[in-house]
Amino acid sequence: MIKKSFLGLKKPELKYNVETLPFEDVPIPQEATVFLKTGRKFGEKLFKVGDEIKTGQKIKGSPDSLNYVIAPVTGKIASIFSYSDALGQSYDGIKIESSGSDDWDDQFKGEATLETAIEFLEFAPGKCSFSKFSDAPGKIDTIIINGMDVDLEGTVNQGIVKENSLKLKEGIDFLKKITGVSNFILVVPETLSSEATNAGATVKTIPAIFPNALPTMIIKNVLDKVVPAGKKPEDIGFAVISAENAVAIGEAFATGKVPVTKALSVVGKDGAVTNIKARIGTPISNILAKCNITLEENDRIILGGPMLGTTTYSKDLPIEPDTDAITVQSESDSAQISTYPCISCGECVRICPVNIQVNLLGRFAEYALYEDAEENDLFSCIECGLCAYVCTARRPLLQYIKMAKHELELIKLSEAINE
Amino acid sequence: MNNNNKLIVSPAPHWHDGSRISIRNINIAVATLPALLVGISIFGLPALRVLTLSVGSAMLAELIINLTTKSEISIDDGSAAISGLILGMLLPASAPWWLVVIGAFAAIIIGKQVFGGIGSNPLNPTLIGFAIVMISWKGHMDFDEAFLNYDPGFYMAYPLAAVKHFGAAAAAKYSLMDLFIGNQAGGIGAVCGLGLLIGGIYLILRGYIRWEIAVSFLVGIFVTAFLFNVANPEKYAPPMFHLLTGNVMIGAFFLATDDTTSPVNFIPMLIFGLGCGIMVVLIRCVGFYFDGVILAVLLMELLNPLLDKIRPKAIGKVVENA
Repeated sequence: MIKKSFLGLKKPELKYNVETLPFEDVPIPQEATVFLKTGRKFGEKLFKVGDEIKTGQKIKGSPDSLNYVIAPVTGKIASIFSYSDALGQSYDGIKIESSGSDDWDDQFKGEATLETAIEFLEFAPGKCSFSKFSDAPGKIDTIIINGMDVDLEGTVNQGIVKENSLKLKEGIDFLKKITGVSNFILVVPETLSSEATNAGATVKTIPAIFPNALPTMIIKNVLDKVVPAGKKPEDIGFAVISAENAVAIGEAFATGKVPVTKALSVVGKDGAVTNIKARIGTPISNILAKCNITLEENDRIILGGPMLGTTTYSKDLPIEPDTDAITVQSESDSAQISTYPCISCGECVRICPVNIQVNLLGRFAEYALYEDAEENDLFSCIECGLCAYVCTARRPLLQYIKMAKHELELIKLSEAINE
Repeated sequence: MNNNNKLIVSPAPHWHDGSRISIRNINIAVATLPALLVGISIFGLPALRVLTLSVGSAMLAELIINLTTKSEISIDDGSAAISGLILGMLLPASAPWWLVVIGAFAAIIIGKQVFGGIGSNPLNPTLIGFAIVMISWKGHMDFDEAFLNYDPGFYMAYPLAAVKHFGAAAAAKYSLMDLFIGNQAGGIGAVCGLGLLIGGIYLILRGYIRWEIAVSFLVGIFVTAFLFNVANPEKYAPPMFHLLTGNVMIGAFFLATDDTTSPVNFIPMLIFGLGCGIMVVLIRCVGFYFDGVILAVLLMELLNPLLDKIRPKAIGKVVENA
């Protein structure tokens, strides 16, 4: 954890990890778990305990549902349980007992079209929703390939740019073909600028300082465009795809197999980083065992990096296609948050990359004044977490902001239903 | 591996830069030391008596409120102690015990806790406490009266009173060096400009107070005093005299820079500091009171919420009807 420097005049700088490490393989787990978003319909599911599942097989809840998961291993469904994430979205957890070897499913033919990508590749590592290309054809004119990990410490995308710049080119070529977008920008840290030139995209380097790798910041710093508050990059014609995702898509179309292996960085309690590749659905405990990390009472397991990751409550839960890192933190290293009131010291206001008055916004969000929060630039927030990182009173500011956004969404949803 | 290890779930971010309100307040306490040591060496044990009583009463007041309102015990964050400490620095060493206790209780209870405690007070609690005793017991707070039977070995008439009564000629009796190192009548911790400057620079470098406020405060005083002095050099004292007397130095580094009650954006901070500085000299030269720092800062703190409306536009903000 990077502490405040003795001299406090300068803003703290959180540097990204730019050391690229090779990837070690984690063996196929005995049991893999995937989470399928539960649809609104209750009824007979298309799968049940005991079903034979092949690697790469698409699992759906009902025939007309758009949600699906891809089975990462071959074997039998051992159990089905319900699971809900931090925001209350419910899922069907499907635990597949692996047979130890792979028997590939043949539904995916490797035909390079956007429909195939939507049908089979939304669960690919890095998780990209391809429907944004089909929703409004021609609207997206630039695809940004993010060659950096969004969060600190992780080096997944950096590692992939370094190792696989030719595969990245293959991925970009397929993406060109299926989306019809010709403008590709590859964003890398300074250290990888020579490797990145092979990828066949315009290379832009950004300073390796948090939060420059966040999509909104890339668009602002590299392309000098501003994403309006509450909008997504695709609304102004940009799609941001991680380098890992681009490589996975290239491999999928080249080999005809749906990618089921996720690269991730594991950060131990001492800060040591190990890069590994594991099947999606591998329990966290397997990965920790591989990296020789032992858990103790009151530790935290963070899915993601130290700034943006979410803690999880069990080491038996699996890694998901968007788990870029696992960070393990002992209690003494963790940020001890408090319920103290804001003292308006202004540290958050000075560090905010998008100039939000976080001292006011945090108060409004804390006291459930969500409309006031919206007027105070709630939706400009890019959720980088720097405000909470520097907060003298140790207020969970990012949590307040996320909560306010979530509550406003619920309010708007219920208003829409009532009309 | 033991399977029953409990994990802790907490919101992101999981890193913190290690700052704390208590660490902040300890640093402010450290920064007051140079000025305090000089003050105690000049005024002796009575000064120490006032300081300890003030800090203790402020913490006791906070504890009583914590217990009676059944809220979280908050004396450990040090903010009550700092309020008491700075109040003690403003008081004369001769202040009777009841005056110190009343000042400290008023600061914490009326200045802070009635608004909801730390972070919710619109005005600096220290200033509220001091203003209440200053207006209520003029005799005890008059430095000339307070030090009537006291001879520290230098010219002991309160400089600001002398200038008010006898015009700029009185200012010539004081050497600027004497004023700067603390050989003057005044509050225990407020007399030594040098010590306060050292403490202030320490806090600025550590990032605990904002240079924008401190510098613009001093600039505001200098420029306004200079204009008065140019307009009528016989009646109004020169600007350096204004900078080194009364509560100006403690005001610049410890009063106006209070976190909760000062603005957070760049331009508002400059306006806030300048406004304080201008008001100080106006009160001194045109107003009724000898020293205007306390009232000037209180006045500008009332404007603080308005000043902070001057803010940079958030990136991505969509301005409608613009």
